[in-house]
Amino acid sequence: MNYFSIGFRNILKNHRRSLVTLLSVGFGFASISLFAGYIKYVYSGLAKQAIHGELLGHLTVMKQGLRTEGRLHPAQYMFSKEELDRVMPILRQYPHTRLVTPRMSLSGMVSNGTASTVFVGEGMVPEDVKKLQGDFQRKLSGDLKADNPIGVATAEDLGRILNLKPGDSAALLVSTVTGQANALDVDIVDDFNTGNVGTNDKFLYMPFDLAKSLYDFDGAERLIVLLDDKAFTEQARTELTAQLKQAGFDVELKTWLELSSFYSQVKRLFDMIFAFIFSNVFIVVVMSIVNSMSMTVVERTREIGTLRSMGLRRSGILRLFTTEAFMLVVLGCAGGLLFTLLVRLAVNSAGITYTPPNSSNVVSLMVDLDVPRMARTFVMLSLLGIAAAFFPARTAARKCITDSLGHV
Amino acid sequence: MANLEGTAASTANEDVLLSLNDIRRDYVLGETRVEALKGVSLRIHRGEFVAIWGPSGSGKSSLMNILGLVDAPTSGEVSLEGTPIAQLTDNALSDLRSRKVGFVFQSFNLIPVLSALENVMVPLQIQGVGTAEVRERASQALKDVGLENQASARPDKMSGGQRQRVAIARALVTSPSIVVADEPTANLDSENSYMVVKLMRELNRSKRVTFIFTTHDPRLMDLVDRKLLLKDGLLQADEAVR
Repeated sequence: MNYFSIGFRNILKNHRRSLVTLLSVGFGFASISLFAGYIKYVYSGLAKQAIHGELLGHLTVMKQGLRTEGRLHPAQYMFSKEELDRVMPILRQYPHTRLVTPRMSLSGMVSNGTASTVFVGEGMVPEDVKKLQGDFQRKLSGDLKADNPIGVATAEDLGRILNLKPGDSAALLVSTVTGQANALDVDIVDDFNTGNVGTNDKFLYMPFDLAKSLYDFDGAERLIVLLDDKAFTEQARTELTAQLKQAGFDVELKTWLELSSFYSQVKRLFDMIFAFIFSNVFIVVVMSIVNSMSMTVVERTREIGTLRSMGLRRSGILRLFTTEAFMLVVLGCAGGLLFTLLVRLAVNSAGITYTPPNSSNVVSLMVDLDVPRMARTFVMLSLLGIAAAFFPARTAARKCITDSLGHV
Repeated sequence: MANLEGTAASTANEDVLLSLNDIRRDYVLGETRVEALKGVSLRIHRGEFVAIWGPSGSGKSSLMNILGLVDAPTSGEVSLEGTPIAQLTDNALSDLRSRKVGFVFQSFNLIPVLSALENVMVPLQIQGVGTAEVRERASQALKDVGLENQASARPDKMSGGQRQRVAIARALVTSPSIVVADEPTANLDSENSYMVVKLMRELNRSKRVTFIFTTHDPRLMDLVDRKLLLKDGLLQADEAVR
């Protein structure tokens, strides 16, 4: 039996009903695909923001316990100069490593001479910042000047609070590694927007050597590793951890994903919204297919009786109707895919921008293609479409042939 | 008068195609039990052209359903070519119908979305015959009923007589042992009725296929070998016509 031919012709024959079902499947598929594409773009943007914008790199190497006991005894949990000289070559020789750069974080007070406020500072090598940023456009970190060893960059809101702008001077007061107060005058060389209202009034970037001077420690708190591809992150973590342990270092390697709580929170939120939308759309689409196929099976009861009397097995009847439902899903999804591509093209070329919640930056509304999610949606719609046809068809196939033949 | 098996056809036992022994068929309608067949015994021989006639409600359709293996009797035994039917699973019974039984229905029961040729191809496709052979045999079957020029026509573009001829081609395309036709002329005018039964008769002779059909039309009785009168669920007469 040519099930596809019969299925396709019945879809055409019942064109009004088929159209409603196809629209339902198509719009359902498109709405899921578009939302999946949107959140994929958001995830991709957030990942770039974390790795290149927030300068997290792909991996952060630190001594085991830095983030717990290290608060109380920082010197024990930071890399000394000698340790850095041994650890950094191991990280640099890894085939996928593009950059290894030291970091030092510290906090204290920043003063404009008349007023002061707290800051959270990060010491980094100015030349490496550019490499870490890559082609990331949005300015989430300041441009430090390699030729100005006391040049710092302040987050915009921090500068606004203290009325500090590039070209001004300020004073930083911090505790050294041994707990003593240490103050230095600095120049404001740049300002930047962290993209987060919670940090935009606190962050301050400074040259790594300045941070070392302020903290009075000739070493680094942690090392940032930039890989040539995000996809190697987990593999690099595993392999580098093993190599460093073999070299006698009790270290832990954190991925950008683990350190960017913002990314994880947004992803969790969007995943929940996606699951909610997905299940709602799914119910509507499946109900539509159930309705369409139930009517089709009832209308074709006599045909079922005829085919059964001619020797078609019950399984053949099931195949006949599940094939038709599958074709409805395939055609609907094909239409939905076309609609997705058109809407994506329109949205991406419209230049729509918006300010996300808890953000101080305007971002573009763009839609990606999330092919794996679209494929999963298609498979699930197909399976449920087939199930939607299976049950009424099974009831009809089990019906007594003489009753089916006598059906009006 | 319930047991009249083989009275008209004195054919040898080995020619018995279909055998019914003390067939009863009851239906339950609400709280009422209706006895449609009250103990029918019957032997149909290979190559016979048999008409079953009788008033409405006499049990003709119930008997045809059992003869066509699409219904099981409440009691009694049915054998096709010596094979007892009662023991067969649903799949085995489906396969047996596919190979041995052709059907012609009162309302033609053609699949509306398929052309005449495609409708005739369906029984062969159910059997899993290869595509080229299916097309060739279906074309020949359509030619046998004189509809080779209507191969691509859809049922809704054909007259009642043409549709029934397509149905006959469909019933014969698998070269079945028996063709069961329940009121095949009920939806046709008298001219087409005669033409259709005449065609069935010709095919019965040329292909040696057994035909059993029900009818109310006394004119058609002249064309048959044997006629069975069914009344009140009992076989009242079994006569050889010629």
